Amino acid sequence: MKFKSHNYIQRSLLGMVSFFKEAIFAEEFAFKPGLLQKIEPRIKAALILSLILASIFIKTTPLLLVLYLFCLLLAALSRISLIFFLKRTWVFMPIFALIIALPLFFTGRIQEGVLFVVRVLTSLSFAVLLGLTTPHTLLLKTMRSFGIPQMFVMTLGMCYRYIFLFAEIIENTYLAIKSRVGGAIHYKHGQHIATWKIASLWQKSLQLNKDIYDAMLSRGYTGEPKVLDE
Amino acid sequence: MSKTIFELENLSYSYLNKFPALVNINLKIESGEKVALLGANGTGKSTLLHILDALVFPDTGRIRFFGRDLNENAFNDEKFSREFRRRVGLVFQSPDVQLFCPTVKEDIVFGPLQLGVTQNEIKKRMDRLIEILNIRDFINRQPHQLSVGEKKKVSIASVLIIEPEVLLLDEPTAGLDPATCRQLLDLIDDFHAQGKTVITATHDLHMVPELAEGLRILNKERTITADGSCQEILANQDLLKQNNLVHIHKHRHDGSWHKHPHQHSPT
Repeated sequence: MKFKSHNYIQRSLLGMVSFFKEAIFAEEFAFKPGLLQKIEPRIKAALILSLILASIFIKTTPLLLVLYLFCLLLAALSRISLIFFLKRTWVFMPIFALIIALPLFFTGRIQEGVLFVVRVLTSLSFAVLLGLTTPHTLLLKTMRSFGIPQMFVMTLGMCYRYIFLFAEIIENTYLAIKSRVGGAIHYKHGQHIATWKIASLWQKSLQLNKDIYDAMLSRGYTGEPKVLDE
Repeated sequence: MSKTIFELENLSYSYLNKFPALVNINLKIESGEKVALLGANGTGKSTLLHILDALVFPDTGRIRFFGRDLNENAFNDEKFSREFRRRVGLVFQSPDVQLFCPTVKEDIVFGPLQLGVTQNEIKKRMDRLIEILNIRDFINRQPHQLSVGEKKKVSIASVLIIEPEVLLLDEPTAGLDPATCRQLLDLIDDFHAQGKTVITATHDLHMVPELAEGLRILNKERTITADGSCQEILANQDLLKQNNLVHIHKHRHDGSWHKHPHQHSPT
């Protein structure tokens, strides 16, 4: 009995790893001498936030499209490759908009559906633009200066920090499997490996969680993180 | 006159109350000592360091720090807790555990900030450490962008900036290139030369003569089986063999391979 090979596990793993690698590469945009990079992060964040709010309240599609084009113009003036920028924003669209808007298209409310998709696309593009033109460490500091609690900012920073560690583990696991298997594996076996690996990553993350907390305690952490004034 | 920093009496600890990690440990560490906890993998060295840093507490037996019992109740006293964390610093085996902040700089200053050191003093200490460890180039980088050696240096800086009296090191030389290893050993030497106490957990026999003057050996039963000077213990080949600590050296002589135990002769 022959089985067709299914490479969706491989595709998902590589897709996830390449997304995180792109994120590291994308930090380079934040240091380019573009328009948005020159603006003070707090002013830039306030400006982008007001543009996102505007995109929420605008009720006509053409006007929203103008705002979207303005966003693309800002990206170009900030020396961000438009192809990269479009890929980066459209990758989220199926999750954030298309699936939700699908019923509207099927019930004949096409205009409403289009308005919703363009609105999500525009606000998402502005948010991505802010992330791409600001080093994430400055973004965290900006959040603090906007009065967001330090505990929340610290948790977010730690998530960002350790997501790379896990991406590295996933990539190494994939390479270790590839080096031992040599070719395509039966999809059922692939599912078995993936399930086992998800469980072991979960265990690893729990252990890491405990160890990091110990490392924080060891350096005097008492539950209220303090930061350097700069 | 030396003072006893740590005193452990009949101390035992197990994971989940099922898996013994340390059994009936008796240990005394005097102020100014430079001591290594030597043992093969899985003998409880790291757990012992965590006990000394009061991150976990024993199931039975007791541990005293300058005569005061270390237990959960002691750490309910905020003043004592802060004082203990200021006096004892632990460098974890994995720098990825130690470096949890978004940037190297934030990681270095984390400890003294939590311990209430003034911002000016922190900046002074940080500048000094940056020079000593030569880490200025990557001070604003993210920890995941650093090499293993660079991460290790930052981990050590993140503890030395607290200016502890006792430095606990878990496998400090593991995975380091020879130059970084040398730099680290010199740093530990300088720290000890200031009259401070260094306790290192290691299984690296090559490094032991440089890391310690006194040795405590942990065996497979997870208890301390020998206590003595580095010279005495490293000369006792039977003891090292019994505890899986003999390094078998294999090299070529006149075209044929030759094996023998590596001899250590600390001066």
